[in-house]
Amino acid sequence: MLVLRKMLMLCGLALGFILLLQGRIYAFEATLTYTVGSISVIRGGNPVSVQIGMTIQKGDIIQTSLGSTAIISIDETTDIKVRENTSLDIEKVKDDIRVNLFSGSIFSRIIGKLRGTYSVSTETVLAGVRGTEFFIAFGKQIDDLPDVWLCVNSGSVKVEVIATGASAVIREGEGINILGGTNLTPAKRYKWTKQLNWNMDPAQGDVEDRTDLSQAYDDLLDQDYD
Amino acid sequence: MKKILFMLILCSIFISPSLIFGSHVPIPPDGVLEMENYIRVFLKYGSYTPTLSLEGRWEDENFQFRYRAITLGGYYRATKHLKVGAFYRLQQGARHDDNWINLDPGWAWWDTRGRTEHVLLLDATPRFLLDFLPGQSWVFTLKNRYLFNTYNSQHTLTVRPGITYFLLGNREPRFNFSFNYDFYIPLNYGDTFLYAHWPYLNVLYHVSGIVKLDFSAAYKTVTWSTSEDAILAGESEYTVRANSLVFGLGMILQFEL
Repeated sequence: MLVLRKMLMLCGLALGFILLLQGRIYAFEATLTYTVGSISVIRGGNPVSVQIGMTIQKGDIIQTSLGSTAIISIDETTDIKVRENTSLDIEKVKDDIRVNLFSGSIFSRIIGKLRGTYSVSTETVLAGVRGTEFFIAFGKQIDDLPDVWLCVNSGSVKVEVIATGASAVIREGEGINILGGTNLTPAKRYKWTKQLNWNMDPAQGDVEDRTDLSQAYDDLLDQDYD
Repeated sequence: MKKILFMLILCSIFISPSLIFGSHVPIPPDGVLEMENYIRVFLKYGSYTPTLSLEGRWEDENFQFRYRAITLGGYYRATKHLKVGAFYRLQQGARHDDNWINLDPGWAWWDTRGRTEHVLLLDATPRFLLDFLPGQSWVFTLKNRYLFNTYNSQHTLTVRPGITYFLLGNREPRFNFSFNYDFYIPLNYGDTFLYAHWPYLNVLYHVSGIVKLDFSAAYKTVTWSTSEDAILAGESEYTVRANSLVFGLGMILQFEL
C-alpha cells in the first residue's frame, strides 16, 4: 500500500513537472515596445486597449492601419517591426517561435540566442531563419494568391513553399519573389530593397519604413525606348 | 464611254510616273527597302531620364547611308501617366522638299550628307495601362513631338498613337510587341496636311535589365511638295508620294542610377 502511494506520488510529481515544463516552454514573452499611428490588438475576438509595454498573448491578432508601425519584442531574442496595413499573430510550439502573417509586411531581426527556431509563415510560404534579419511582404495578387516577397539584410533565410516543399536559401542582400505564393523565382539583388529601413531602435532614428512596395514590380508606364 | 474611262484609269495606274510628271517632278522610287539602325541610352534617375541617341539610315534605291543624327536630352515624369521631354538633335543627310533642285539642265536631289542641321524637340507622352485586356500588360501610348529645325525654320508636329503588349516572365518584361502609327504634320511648309505617315510593328527583346534589342518594320509614305527651285523656274506645282519599307534594328541600353 505504501509502495503504491509512493508510486502515485512519484507519478503526480512527474506529471506536475511535465506540465510545469510544458507551461514554461509553450509560454512566450512578447511585448509591444513601439507604436506609431493606429494599432489594434484583437484578443478572443474583441479589441483590447493598446499601450506601449503591453504583453502580447498567444492568439492575439495584431493589426496596423495605414501609416502605422509597431515593434514587438519576443522573448528578448527577436524583434519584429510591423509595417502599415498588416495583420499577424504569434505562436510558440516548444522552443520554436512562429509569426503567422495574414496580410501586409514585417521586418524580423534576431537579436539574442534562440532556443529553437524562428519562422514567418504565410498561407503558402514558410521562411525559417537562424540568426538573421529579413523582410517579408505580400505583393500584388496577379494569380489566385498574392505574391510573397522576401529580402534578407543579414544572415540567410530558408524559404519553403508549404504545398510543394520546394525551397530556396536566400542570402544576405538578396531577395526573392514567390509568385502567387507558390512558385519560387531565382533569388537576386533587387535595387528597391536598398530603400528598406531596417532600423528597429527608435533611439537610433526613424523606424518607420515608407518604402513603396509597388517598386518591386516593373512600372509599365515608365518604359522609354525612343 | 465607260470603256474609254476604264482604259484611262488603267493607263493612269500602269504608266510610269516619269511619263506623267514633267522632269521638274521628283520620281518616287519603286519598292524601296531602307534600313534604320540606332543605339539609345537611357539613364534613369528618379523622375528624370537623360538620354543619348545615335541613329543612321540607309536610304533610297541605292541603299545609301545618308541620314545620321545624334540626339541629346531627357524625359521628366510629370505624373504617373505623363512624361515630358526636351531634346537637341544634330543631323546630317536630312531631305526636305526644297532639296529637289534645278541643275539646269535636269533636276536632282541635293546630296545633303555634308549639311548639318540643328533641331530642337519637345515631347509630351501620355501612357495608360489597359489592364482590362487579357494579360493585364497592355499599354496605350500617345507620343507627341514638336520639332523646330533651325536650318530652314520648319515647324513640325509628330503624333504617334500606339499599343504595346509586354510579355512578362517572373513579373518582368521579356518581350514587347508594339503597333504604332506615326503621323508627321508640317506646321509651316508643304502642300499637304501630312508630310509623312507610317504604321510600324516593333518587337523588343529584353536581353537583360539593361540591354534590349529592338526590331521594327514600317511602311513609310512621304509626300513631296513643290520645291522652291520648281517655283522659281515657273514649273507647275506637284505633290508626289514615295513609299518605302523601312526595317529597323537597334540596341537600347537602360541604366538605373
